[in-house]
Amino acid sequence: MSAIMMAHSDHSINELLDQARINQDPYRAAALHPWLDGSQRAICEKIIFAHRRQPRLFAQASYTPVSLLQRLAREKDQITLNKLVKNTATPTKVLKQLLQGDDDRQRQDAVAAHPNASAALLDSIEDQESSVRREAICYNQNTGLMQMYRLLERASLHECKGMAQNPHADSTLLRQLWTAFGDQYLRAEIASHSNCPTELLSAALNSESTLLRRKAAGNANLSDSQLVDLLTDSNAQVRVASLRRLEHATLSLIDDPARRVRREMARKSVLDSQLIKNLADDEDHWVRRWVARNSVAPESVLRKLAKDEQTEVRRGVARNSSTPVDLIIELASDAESWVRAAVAIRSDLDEEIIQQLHDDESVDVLAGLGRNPASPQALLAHIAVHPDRDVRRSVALNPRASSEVLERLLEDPYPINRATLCRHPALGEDELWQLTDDAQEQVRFSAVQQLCSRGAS
Amino acid sequence: MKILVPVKQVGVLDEDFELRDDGRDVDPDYLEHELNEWDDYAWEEALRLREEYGDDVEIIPLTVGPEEAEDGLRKCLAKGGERGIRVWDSAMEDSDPMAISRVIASVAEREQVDMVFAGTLASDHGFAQTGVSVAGRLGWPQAAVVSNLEYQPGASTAQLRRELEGGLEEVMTIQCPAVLTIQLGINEPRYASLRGIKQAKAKPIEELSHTDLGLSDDQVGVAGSASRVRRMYVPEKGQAELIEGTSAEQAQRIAEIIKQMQGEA
Amino acid sequence: MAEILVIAEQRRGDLIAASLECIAAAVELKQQGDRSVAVCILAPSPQDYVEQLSAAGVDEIITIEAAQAEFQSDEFSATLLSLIEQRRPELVLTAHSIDAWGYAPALAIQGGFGYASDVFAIRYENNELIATRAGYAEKVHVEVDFPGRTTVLLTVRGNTFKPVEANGSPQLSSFETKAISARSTHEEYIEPESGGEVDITQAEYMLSIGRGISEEDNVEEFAELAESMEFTLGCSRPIADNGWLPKYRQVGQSGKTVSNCSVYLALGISGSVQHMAGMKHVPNIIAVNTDPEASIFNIARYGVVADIFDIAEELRNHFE
Repeated sequence: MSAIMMAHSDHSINELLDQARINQDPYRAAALHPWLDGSQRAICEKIIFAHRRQPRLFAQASYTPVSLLQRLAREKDQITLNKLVKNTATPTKVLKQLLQGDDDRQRQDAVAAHPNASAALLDSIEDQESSVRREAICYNQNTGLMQMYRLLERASLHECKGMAQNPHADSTLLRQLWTAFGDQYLRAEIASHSNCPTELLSAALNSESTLLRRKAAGNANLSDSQLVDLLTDSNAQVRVASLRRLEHATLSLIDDPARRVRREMARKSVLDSQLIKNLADDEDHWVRRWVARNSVAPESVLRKLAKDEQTEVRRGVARNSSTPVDLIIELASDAESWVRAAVAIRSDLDEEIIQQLHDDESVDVLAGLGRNPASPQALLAHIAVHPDRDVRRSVALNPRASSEVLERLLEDPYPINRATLCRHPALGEDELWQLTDDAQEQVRFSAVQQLCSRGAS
Repeated sequence: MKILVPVKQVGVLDEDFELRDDGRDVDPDYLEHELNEWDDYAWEEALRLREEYGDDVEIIPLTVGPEEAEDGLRKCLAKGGERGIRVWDSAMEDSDPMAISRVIASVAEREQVDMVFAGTLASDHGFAQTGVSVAGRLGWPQAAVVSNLEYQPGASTAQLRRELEGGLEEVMTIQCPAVLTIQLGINEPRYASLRGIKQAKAKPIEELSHTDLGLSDDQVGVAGSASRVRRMYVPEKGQAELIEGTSAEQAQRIAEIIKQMQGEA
Repeated sequence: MAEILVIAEQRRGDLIAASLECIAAAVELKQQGDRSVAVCILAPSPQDYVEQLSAAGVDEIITIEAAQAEFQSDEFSATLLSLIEQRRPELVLTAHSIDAWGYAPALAIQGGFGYASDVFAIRYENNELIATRAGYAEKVHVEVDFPGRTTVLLTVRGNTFKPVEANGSPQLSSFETKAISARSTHEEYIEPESGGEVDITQAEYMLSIGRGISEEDNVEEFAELAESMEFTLGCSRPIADNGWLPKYRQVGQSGKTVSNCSVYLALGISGSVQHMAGMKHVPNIIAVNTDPEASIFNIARYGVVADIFDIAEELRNHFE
């Protein structure tokens, strides 16, 4: 970063801080918080803590900056702390900080269930006597292997099911879980685990239980030949599960009575040409729908499906990256707007097709063009003032929208559109400044956040 | 030609809150106030008439509430209009919508307005009663849940649509003056510009008490209400029943619940 | 003996279901003490509804032949005011319907009645009437009473009281409608637009997907599941914003309200204010989300903390 840039961004931050102070605005203050030094932070915090409800709101919000979460962890207000510990955005270090010197059992339980709690942290709050704590730790994906071994001794069936889903469970632990209760659901979880020992996997594969065979079929360690063997299983659910893991479809299933099996085949990236032709003629429209979306479908098949009576099948062709241009042009004038809308979101559109869709009345078509990077700026300018708020927002979601076009959304009456606008990298700096004074708090927050991060980069 | 638009700052309650010591309302510390969404649409409808028909149309936002309620008026005035009216004094505490409607009707008479546009309901207590009560007080015709309006200021009738249950709409002609309660979606309320917000700060807001309106003490507050709050309480929270187990077990349970519900229907 | 009067309503010839629920509320109160229940129906041919209104516990049905073919607030207010002044019931119940929004408060003003709207519980305590309604967006319940009022008018929330199934044999009487000069005129009804598209506002069972879905093919998988379950597919804003589902499937603030839904399976929907605006009223919400603190769980009847893809995969096996 050059000295001049630094000066500029410091200057901006001071100005934003002044604004936050003059308006006593906790949202601007919160967005600024991570960019400030100690004394400036104190100013922000004074604004944020001026009202009891504000820290509580930030403690549970997904957007709150980590620096502010850290500050909130030092609060005395119990409700703030309770919210903080349940916020999934709260990182490990804040959880750790929060636990220091805090002997509130419910908050410790909440940490035990928290997706960001580290193995070490979970280890530190182990309490064999508390069933709530035990359960939370057993189901926490971060729980380490050693802790699971300790918990195993007294674990209930329910707790064992949690551990069987833990990626750190090793083959020895899984063996012990397998014999612990003899429960089919627990064994099914073990059978799908990537560390499932070979002998248990083959026991599952040869089991009478459909559930076990199906879950085993989903195991990432099965070889292709094992999967192919499973394709002859008498149960369609098992055939579907094994087919899902294979790259190719197989001719032997061409007339499978279960439509789910045929649907699954229609999605394969390696498909025999005879097979794909058969599937394209399937009576089940979902089979045809998946073929229509399949990029390996040959042109002749796509041409045929482009005339299918089912809207969704034609839409599938319009979404297919292999569909030839002339067919796209044809689908761009389909009677169903939902098919035309599928054309409108293709990133490979040429001017001719865009022109064709330009005057469409469907909100789905217009919103599709609005977020399409291929759309010309003049068209985007037009869409940005459409009466429908969702259509207008599409322009703010378009990565290629120019700053001039985006300006048209500056006074959009729908707050979500202005908040979306803030996050657009092409939005001009003056415009962002304007949004820092928006009537809606989320817009102000986003605008300040953007200005700060732009200044820093 | 004047249109009066009564607006309300609704109370948005925090997730965690406490009740007031007397148990008849919540502790105001846990409330945040914002302009009722429906009123935003009612004000927009008035703004549009003023824009279309010019300066002969005067539009006045009115609020019945303490000093903080002024924010709501300023929010309206930031979009247009020249002045606002706020009525409040301590005797008006704990007024129900019926008592509030008496105040609004008195202002309508004092200002000799030609139409009243009110929000259909407010998002806090959802009474859906203030606007139509005002009509009852004024002896004016009324239409509730108006989703479309064709009206030329000064005309003796207006044509409108009312939104009924299940998306059905009724087309109706109504004699004016009238009270209309405005439904969401009748228009798209504009966004107040920065300039507008600054200008609104300088616009006059007339502050009145119930006596200024010629109302007696027993016509406002609890005495002037058609109901009285005995107590407020937090309902036993219908906590979601947690479905546990492996995903196979959870899905099985969901399927059972769904099939049972479909069987009952 | 004190009377409870129920005002029944019809639209386009059909009695509204909520009127039968009001009768149930009145009959329940009658059982608490020495009271009679009368039901009035103001309609072009009121006798058509007598059979349906003759629930066990109803003592009298009052037919009033309306002069106006459709609901007209002046006729309702004037006629009901004169009926109430004549009979002096201590309690009048009517559905919290949109037509009631259009006349009941004005009627209460004209008659000087006690009034509360959208009540879902009514009881007498020491012979004093107490009604319960909700406040602050349903976060609190509020008990109200009506000191000094001889007649109280309440509008009753729908789906609260279960209609009485048994039939009774009430007395029949009639009452004259008030001749008024109506100040508003019904012109016509406009049917809701359907335009051949799926109308999620009419759907009874819905499966809705949200931000948790990050690929278009996944949307297709959930659409397939919804179809096999015979559920109508809905979505939250991000899915429609991506162009993956049409706007008419979007539930919420800038989308639609699922007014007729009874079961709503929310998959990966965290529960933004905007989305919940369109579905929080649904009685049976089943929410599946990995975050146990997601707001959707606050309004759900059943909560499932799980990965939506796992659950969907498993659900497929139950609906084939």
